[in-house]
Amino acid sequence: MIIPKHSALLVIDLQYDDGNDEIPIMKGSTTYQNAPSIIKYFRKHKLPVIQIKEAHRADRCDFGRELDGTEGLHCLEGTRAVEYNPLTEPVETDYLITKRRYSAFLGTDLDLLLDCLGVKTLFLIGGLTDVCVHFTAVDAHQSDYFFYVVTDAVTGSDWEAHKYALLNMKYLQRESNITTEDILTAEVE
Amino acid sequence: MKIPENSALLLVDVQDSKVKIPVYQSEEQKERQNIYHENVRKTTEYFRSLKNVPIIHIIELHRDDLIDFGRELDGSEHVHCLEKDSFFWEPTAPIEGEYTVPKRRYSAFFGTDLEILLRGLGARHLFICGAMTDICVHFTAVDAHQRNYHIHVIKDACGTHSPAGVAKAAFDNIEYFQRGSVITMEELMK
Repeated sequence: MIIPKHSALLVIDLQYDDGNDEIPIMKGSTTYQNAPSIIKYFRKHKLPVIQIKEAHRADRCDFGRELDGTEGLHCLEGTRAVEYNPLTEPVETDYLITKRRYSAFLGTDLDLLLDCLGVKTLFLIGGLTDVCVHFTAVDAHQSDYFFYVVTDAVTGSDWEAHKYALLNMKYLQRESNITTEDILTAEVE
Repeated sequence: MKIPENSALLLVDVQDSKVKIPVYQSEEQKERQNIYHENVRKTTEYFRSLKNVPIIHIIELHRDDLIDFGRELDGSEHVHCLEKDSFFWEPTAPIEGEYTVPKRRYSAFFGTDLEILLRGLGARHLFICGAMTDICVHFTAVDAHQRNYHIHVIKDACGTHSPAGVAKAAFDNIEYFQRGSVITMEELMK
């Protein structure tokens, strides 16, 4: 594939696992095998890498309705769960964004940053496929960005939900599902 | 169920067009559409009979010169919901005292005054039905949840032509966000 010149990589919620976050994760995901080489590829080609992380205030006041479903307490400030994962740790040239909700567009300056960078196409990796990745993709699409989701570098809450979220993203944009290999063998426009 | 005091009903894209796009093609899909239509009509009548729950009709409309489609034509959907062709589905069309919100995107919160209206109404609980289950209903429900509303999605009054597994996955995802948020008409009216 050809990576358009106005592209950026969104690394979504690859955070330190301190073992306390009550969030389901599918078994056998290849995200941490593939994410480092994808990030390296974008850095090498001088394309923006934007690292998103979720954080909630320690007194829990900003959870909204997030604890009414499957997820328990997660990403509390003051714990290691709000640190970036060492395997995909940001470097100085990466852009950092902290969010309080699933979508990286909600209540953040992501749209503003993308506009300033002149970005038109987003590549998504991280987690969870059926939660933060899905609804960041939906908001990107609704905000007129082209998007690609790297199917073997995203992790779902379970395999079934992972599969249907990817299918939904394909409904929105036909060619949106790509693989790590597509990126590593791609040329940059 | 007991409807909380600060509730509103969102009817998502219960609309019709002068130009029929045949998305419900197979006999099974047509049958599904008939059941959905019958159920969304009954649900609307039920809320009207309560008299104290605001009813908000969402309609997707795109400008006739196609300028506002954004990326919507890059996937499965073709040109749809043009202003010159679109109108509310007659059996549930807004009556006096009901609200209308036009939108350009899937989510009813995106680029609309829905939140301004909900704040004015003091609504905290949203009852949601309409179409398509796996797109506009799903994304509107998730956006409502992310904006701190309690959601109640009336499963059998939602419609889609997508395969059955797709609708189920959307409902499962909504339940992931808020336990007990997906309800049936029977539970609603009990």
